[in-house]
Amino acid sequence: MATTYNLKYPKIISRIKIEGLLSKLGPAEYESVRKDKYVYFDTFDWRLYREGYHLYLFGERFALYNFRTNEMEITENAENLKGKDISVHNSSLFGQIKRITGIREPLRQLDLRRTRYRYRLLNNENKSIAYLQIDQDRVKTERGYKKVDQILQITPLRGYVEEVQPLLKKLSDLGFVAFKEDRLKINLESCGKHPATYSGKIWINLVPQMPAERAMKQIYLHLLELMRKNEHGIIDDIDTEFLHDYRVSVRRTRSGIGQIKNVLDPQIIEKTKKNYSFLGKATNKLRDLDVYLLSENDYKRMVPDHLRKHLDPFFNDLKKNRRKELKNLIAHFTTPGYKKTLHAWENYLRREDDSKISDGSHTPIIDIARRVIQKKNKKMLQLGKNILDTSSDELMHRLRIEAKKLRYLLEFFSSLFEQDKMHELLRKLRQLQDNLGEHNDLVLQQRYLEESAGLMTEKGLPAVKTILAMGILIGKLNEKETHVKRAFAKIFKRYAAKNTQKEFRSLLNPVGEV
Amino acid sequence: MITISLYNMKGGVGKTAAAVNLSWLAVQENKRVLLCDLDPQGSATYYFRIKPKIADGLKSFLKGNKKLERSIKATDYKNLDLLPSDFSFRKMDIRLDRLKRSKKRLKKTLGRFASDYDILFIDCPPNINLVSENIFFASDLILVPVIPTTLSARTFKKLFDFFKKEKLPEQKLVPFFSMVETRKTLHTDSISQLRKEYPSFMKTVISYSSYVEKMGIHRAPLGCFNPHSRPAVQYQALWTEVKKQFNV
Repeated sequence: MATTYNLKYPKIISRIKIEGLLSKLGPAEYESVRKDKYVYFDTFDWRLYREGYHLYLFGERFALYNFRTNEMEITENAENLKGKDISVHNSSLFGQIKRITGIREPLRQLDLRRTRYRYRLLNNENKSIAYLQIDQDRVKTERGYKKVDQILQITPLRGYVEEVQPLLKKLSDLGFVAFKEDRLKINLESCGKHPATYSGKIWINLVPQMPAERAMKQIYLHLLELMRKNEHGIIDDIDTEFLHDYRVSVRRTRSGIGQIKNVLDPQIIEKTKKNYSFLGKATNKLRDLDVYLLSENDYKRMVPDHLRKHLDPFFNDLKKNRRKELKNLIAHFTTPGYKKTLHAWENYLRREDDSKISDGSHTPIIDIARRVIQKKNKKMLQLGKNILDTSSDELMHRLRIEAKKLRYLLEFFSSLFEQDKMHELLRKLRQLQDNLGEHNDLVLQQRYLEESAGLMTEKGLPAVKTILAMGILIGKLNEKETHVKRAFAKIFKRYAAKNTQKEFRSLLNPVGEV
Repeated sequence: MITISLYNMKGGVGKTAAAVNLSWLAVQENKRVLLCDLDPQGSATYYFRIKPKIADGLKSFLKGNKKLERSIKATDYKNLDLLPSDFSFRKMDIRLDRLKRSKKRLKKTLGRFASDYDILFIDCPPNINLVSENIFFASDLILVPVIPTTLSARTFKKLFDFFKKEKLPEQKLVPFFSMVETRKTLHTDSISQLRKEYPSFMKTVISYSSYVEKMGIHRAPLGCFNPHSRPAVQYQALWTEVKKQFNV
C-alpha cells in the first residue's frame, strides 16, 4: 500500500500562493485539474463512521470506503437518489450497508465540491518521485458553499519514500503541518457537524462529591437534549430508532424522577412527572406498531408458505394505524404547549442558583447513587426469587420494570464507579433484561394478535385464512414464550449468584471506603 | 505471472529497446508489469531515469529478500515497476556457481513477485553462461532479437543447438528480426534463409531506426515521444503477435 502524507497550511491561502511555496521544493510538473462532487451519507447516529466507513456518492457511483484499512470495499452504480434517501436495494452494496446500519437509514450528511490539482515531483534526473495533490474543498452549509483548508497530499512512488523525506522537511519549514485526522471529519466539522458524537447511550461525567442537585440537573438536561435531537427524525419519519431513542430518554427521566427524590424542586418535579407521563403514553401505541411492523418478516417466516400472504391484511391494518398515530404525535410536537413545557423544564435545569432547594440537594451524589442502586438491586433479587417459586407472568413483568430502573441508575451514575466492574455488571444485567424483555414482548404480541383478530372479525374484514395464519402465529409465539420462560431461571440464578452480588458490593463499596 | 526474457548472447541487437517498449505497451493494456534489468550496463534502468542500485547488490538479489523488494522502483508509468540493474551483476555467474541449485536461483528470486505482477520482463546481459541458464529456466518465453546478418544468424544457431543439446524446451525460444534495413540485400536474403530454417521467427520485424536511438535522449519508451513512428508501430505489432500466439 502506498504511503501518503497529508499536510495542511494553517490558513486558507490561494492556490497560486501554494504553488509559489511549492516552487521552492524543486522541479515539479503540473499534470491535471479536476472538479468533483461528493455526497456523503451516514445514519443519524453515525453507525458507518463509527465502524470506520465513508459512504459516498461520487458521480454516478456509490462507494463504501474503509478509512481504517484505507481500502475501497465496494463501489456500485447509483440506481436512484431521491432527496435524503439512498435507494440501492437488492445490491451487494445495500447488503453490506445494512449489515452495519441495521435498522437505521443513511441520511445525506455532507455535500462536498472538490477541486484537485495534481502535480508530479521530480528529482534531478527529471524522474517522477511522488505525486502531489492540492485539494480545495468546499462544503455546503445553510449559507451556501464554504471553503475549507486546502489539503496537500504527497504520495511517493514505489521506491522513493526516502527521496521524498527532504521535501517533507522543506514543506514543514515553509509552514505546512502534517495531520492524520480523517478528512471527512474535518469537512463535517467545518459545517458544524460532529461525526460519532451522537449516541443513544448516556455517559455523564460526574464527580463523587458533586451536590446531588447539580448532578441530577446535568443528567436530566442531557436526556432532554437527546429527546430534542430525535424529534426531527420522528417528524420526517426517517427510521423507527428516532422514536425509540426519544422514548428511552422520556423513560429514563421518569425513572430518575421516581427513584431519586428530595433533590430538586418538588413542585417542578411534580409537573414534569405529569408531562413526561403524558409523553410516554402519547408515544406508546406508535412504538408498539413500529415493533410489530419491524417483525413483519419474522412473523411471516413463522407461518407456512402458503398462508404468508394472508397475513398482509393484518399488517396493512397496522400500517394504516401507524400513519394515524404518527400524524397525531407530530401534531402534538408542534403545539405551543409541548414546546413551552420542555422549554420551562430546560430553563429550570439550566438555573444554577436554585432558591427552592430540597433536603437532599446538597448531599454528595455518590451517597445517593449507592443508596438507590443498592435498594433497587435488593428489590430485584427478592422479586426474582418469588418468580422462581411461582413462575408468575405478572411478577416477571414487574421484575422487568425493576431491572430497567436499575439499569438506568447504573447508567446515570456509571462515571462514579470503576469502569471494568461496571461493564461486567451491566453485561449480566443486560442478559437478564433481554430474557425478560423477550418474554414480555411475546406475551403482549400474542395478546395483541388475539385482540386484533377479534376486532377484524367484528368489522367483518378478514378472510378465514388470515385468521388461520394469525392463529398459527399465536401458537408459535406461545411456544417461544415457554422456551424463553424456561431459560429465565438459569439466567436469573447467574445474576443472583454469590459472586455476582459480591461484585456488586465491591463496585458500590470499594475496599477502604467501607 | 508470465516471465518473458529478451535474450541474445550477442550485444547491440535491440534487447533493451524491445524490453522497454514491450513493457510500456503491456501497461497500456492495464497489465501490472515488472521489468528486471539484469544487464550490469543498466541501459533499461537508464531509459527510465532510475539509479542503477540494488540495496546490498548481488547478495540481496540472489537471496531474494525484503531488501530486494524495497529496491523495486516505480517508473513514471502507472503499473510499470523496475528492478534496477546493479554493477555487481557482472559477477553474477561466479556467485551463482558457488550456490546450491545454481540454475534455479533466479526463478526462485523472481518468483516472489508472482502475485504482484501479471508480466515479468527480463532484460538480459549478452552472455551465455550460468546466468543465461538461470534465465532459460526462469522464463516462459525467450524473445530473441536477431539482426539478419551472417554473424547474428550464426549466434542464433548456436543458441538453438545449445537448447537441443541441453534438452531445454526449444518452444520457449521466440526469435524476431531486429534492426532490419530492408534496403540491404544481405538483410532481406538472411531473413528469407532464416525463416526457412527456423519457422518460429515472428512475422513482425523491427526496423533499424534513429528513433530507437533517440530513446536515449528522451529517456522514455517510443510510445511516449513518437508513438506513430515506424518502430513504435512495429513494437506494437510484435506485442500483439506475441500475445496472440502465446496467449499472454
